[in-house]
Amino acid sequence: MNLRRTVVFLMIVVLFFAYASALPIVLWGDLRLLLDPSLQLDYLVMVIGFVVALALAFLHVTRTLRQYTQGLHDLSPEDAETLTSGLVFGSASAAGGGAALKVQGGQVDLDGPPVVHKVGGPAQLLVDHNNVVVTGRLGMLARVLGPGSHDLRPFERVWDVVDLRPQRRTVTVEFMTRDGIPASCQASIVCRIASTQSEEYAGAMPPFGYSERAVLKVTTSKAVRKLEGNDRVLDWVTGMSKVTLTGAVRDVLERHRLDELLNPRYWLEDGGAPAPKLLPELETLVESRVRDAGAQRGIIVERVELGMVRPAEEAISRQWLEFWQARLQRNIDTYTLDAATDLEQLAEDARVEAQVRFLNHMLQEVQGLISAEVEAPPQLIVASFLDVLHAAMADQGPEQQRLLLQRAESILSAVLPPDRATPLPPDRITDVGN
Amino acid sequence: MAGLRAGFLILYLVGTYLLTRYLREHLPESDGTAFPIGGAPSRALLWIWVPTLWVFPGVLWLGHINLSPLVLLILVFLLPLCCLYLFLLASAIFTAHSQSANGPSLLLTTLSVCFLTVFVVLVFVIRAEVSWAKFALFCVSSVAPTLASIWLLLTLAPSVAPLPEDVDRPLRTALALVLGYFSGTPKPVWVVEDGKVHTRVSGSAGRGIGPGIIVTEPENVVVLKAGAKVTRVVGPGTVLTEPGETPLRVVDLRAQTRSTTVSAITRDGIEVRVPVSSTFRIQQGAQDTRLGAPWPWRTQRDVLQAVFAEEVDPSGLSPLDAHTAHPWEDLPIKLSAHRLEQAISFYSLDQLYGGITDARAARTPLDPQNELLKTHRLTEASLGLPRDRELGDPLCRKTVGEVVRRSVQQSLAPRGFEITGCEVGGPIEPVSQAITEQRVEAWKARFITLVMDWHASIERKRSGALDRIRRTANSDLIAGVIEETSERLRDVDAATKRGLVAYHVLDYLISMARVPEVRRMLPESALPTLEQLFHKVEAESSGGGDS
Repeated sequence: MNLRRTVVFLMIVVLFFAYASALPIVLWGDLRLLLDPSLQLDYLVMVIGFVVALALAFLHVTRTLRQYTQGLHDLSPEDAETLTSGLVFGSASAAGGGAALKVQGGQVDLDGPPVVHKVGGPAQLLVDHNNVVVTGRLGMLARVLGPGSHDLRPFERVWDVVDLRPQRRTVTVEFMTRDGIPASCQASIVCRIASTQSEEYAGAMPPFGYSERAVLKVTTSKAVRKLEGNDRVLDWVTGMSKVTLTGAVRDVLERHRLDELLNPRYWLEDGGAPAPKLLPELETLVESRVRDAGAQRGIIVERVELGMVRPAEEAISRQWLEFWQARLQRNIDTYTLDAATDLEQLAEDARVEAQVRFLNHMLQEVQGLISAEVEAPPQLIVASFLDVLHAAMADQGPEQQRLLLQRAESILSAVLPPDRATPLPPDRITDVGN
Repeated sequence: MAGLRAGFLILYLVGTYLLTRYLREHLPESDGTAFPIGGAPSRALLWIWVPTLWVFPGVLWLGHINLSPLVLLILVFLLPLCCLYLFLLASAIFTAHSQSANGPSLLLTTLSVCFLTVFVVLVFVIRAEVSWAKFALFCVSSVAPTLASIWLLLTLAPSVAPLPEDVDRPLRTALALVLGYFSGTPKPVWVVEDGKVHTRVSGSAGRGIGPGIIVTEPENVVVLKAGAKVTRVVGPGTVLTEPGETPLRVVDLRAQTRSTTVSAITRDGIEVRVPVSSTFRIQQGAQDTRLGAPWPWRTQRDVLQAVFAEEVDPSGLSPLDAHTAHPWEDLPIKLSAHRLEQAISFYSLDQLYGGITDARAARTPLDPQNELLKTHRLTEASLGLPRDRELGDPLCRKTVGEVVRRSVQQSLAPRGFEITGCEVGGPIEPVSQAITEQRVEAWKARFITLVMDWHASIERKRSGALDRIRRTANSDLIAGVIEETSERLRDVDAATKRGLVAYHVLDYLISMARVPEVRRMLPESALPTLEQLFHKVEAESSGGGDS
């Protein structure tokens, strides 16, 4: 019971006792007459009537104030009653049946008492362990309330809620490379509200603390994007992701040509082509910029993750890239894994091919000798053989030809007349055959 | 008599209960119509005190005091009424300067009630020789509940009225608000929510009872006007309005950001789409936002200048909306778009994608970046800006954005704007897709040529290798034939050798032709031909041998 309620109660009690004690004296002059039952009833009716009148005066005043509150804040009678009771007699705790508003998951419980949403306290505010609330009262920022239970003062209402949990947002950044090619890159940020300096210095551990200054900075530095709509105001995380991160990624990537970001030459050639900027290198650069920007706003950037740079779909079709990748892969496979098998197969094929060619040549040469009526002297067959041999040796180098002739010396000596048994130079073998 | 009194008491309770039930669902309407008797004060009295049924406590004295029931009823009615009117008169809420119309009627009504009360007391009470002690207690029982209600109203009203802590005479102001609300002609109460003014209590801003109130959000100020005259800028906070003041505009003090896409033409005649965003706010001054203090803003002049910078532009609007001014928040982005369009015309498309990576080198005339620096300087001068020493960012669009920001700031600072940022945010894209495609093709061509060269060289190597393999196979074959034939003729005498060469050669060739891989590739007649020939030679050899 607060002071105001006590004073009101005491006043009514004092007035009642004064009236009740004065009444029999004034009416009957002798208190002993009150022993008479008929007068007792009379006395009781008078006293009760007076008490009822006082109580009803009190009730009517609160009714008047309730009606005023109801009209002023456009509330239902029940809500107006709750609010007026709270305003007149101070805040009531949730346990006592008063209004309690919960804040959890970075937002106010929408199923909470509407009167607290609309008008504010007195009420109890229950802030979950990973939230911070900034309150406003009658047009001014009032307090920063951390996790726990708080009594909202009259007309103090939740102005903004900050989620202390690390927040992740992913954006797709579209940009133009330095050589004017549209490209895009996916980037993610993980950030949270800064703790106090001492906590950050000691390496803040979950559950994270918060710095009042950082919370105030974050909540008051939101930018308004448009006049209407639910998304008219950029919240701090969206601001960090869609403005700061996007800007930093764009600023870093737009300094490079597409070659420097996505350079097939580097991977195709053994040397000579400049090395592309490596993703971790760019990521570090972006992270450093975003961290600096966040620190100015009271935001700790845990990390930034940069995805692959992709030329815009309409500019360089995915099919082209896939074709290029497939081709590169196929070549690599061919010349690394299957090279040996391929060569063996080729050698085998070539051997068969050489035999077939030799036999075909031989057949062409002896085709005329096979009719049954014609004699086929062995010399003719040998001559044909030598002719084919000569043709086969024609595509060999001089050294190879000489080597083969040396080997064929025994055959030649058998075929040729004794006076011509001396080996001939390769260019003369045709004459020998003929 | 006790039973009658008890009956009155029960009637009192039932009446109160029914009235309270009725009033729970009904609120006074601020219709501004004059109340027939006594005007606004009587209406307030009717809504606030009549439901207390103030006559009943005095009626219980019927039979206890030596007065006729009629006189008693008149007295129990007049005594509290007299107190109430005196209270209303003393509060001066209905007789304030703006309420001069209510003053005489309230004074007249109060005097009438008081005179009538005194008259009744003097004529009937004194003549009836009523005990003064009894009469005094009767008076107490009649007026005590009413006085208690006045006292309670005075005590409790400030707690329900949303008044700022620094308001003068909070008790009187709160009472004025409550009494004004029940008078039927209050001053309006406005609340700013989501940047818009909502009227919570409608009434008369000029002749309404009590003060008007505007409750803003922490981030808003409100421009007020009285009639056709703009009076002042108030907020953020709870503000009591002066007579006749009504809100004209709500101005958001937070940072505003607006973006648009500009279609501009580069100096080499290429039309490009350039996304631009502008961040600005009403001049804040040197203060920061703090708890318990109003959101900082510099002067009323800044706010008024910004609000009255709104432009009427009927283009693109329906005839109905043609005379509607565009919000002041649109002005910086419109100006930024215009300045950006001008700035872009100084640059070539290649320059827009480039930048100055080495500021020192860019100052030397022979450096390729010098041309871009010159363009920056030219743009700066053309937009009427003083020379900036630090001009030149590794990204050209950043420099252009900063030059545009400075230019817009220069133009709008006298209008109360603080331009905190202007950025060419998104990619600068040529309107014609062909230009982008051309650039892409140029980029692709380098790699396509490279891949083709690379493949050609691979093909050359492959052909060379194949040629080598074929020659080796051929050589191996010949060597094999020779080797085999020589082997077979080794132990044969020279005369026989000549006859056997053909025989062995054919034998070898047949064995070669019988290899399945070779046979598949030979004509079907090949093997029979060779075998036929072989038989002939064999027959001949055996015949020759015989001979």
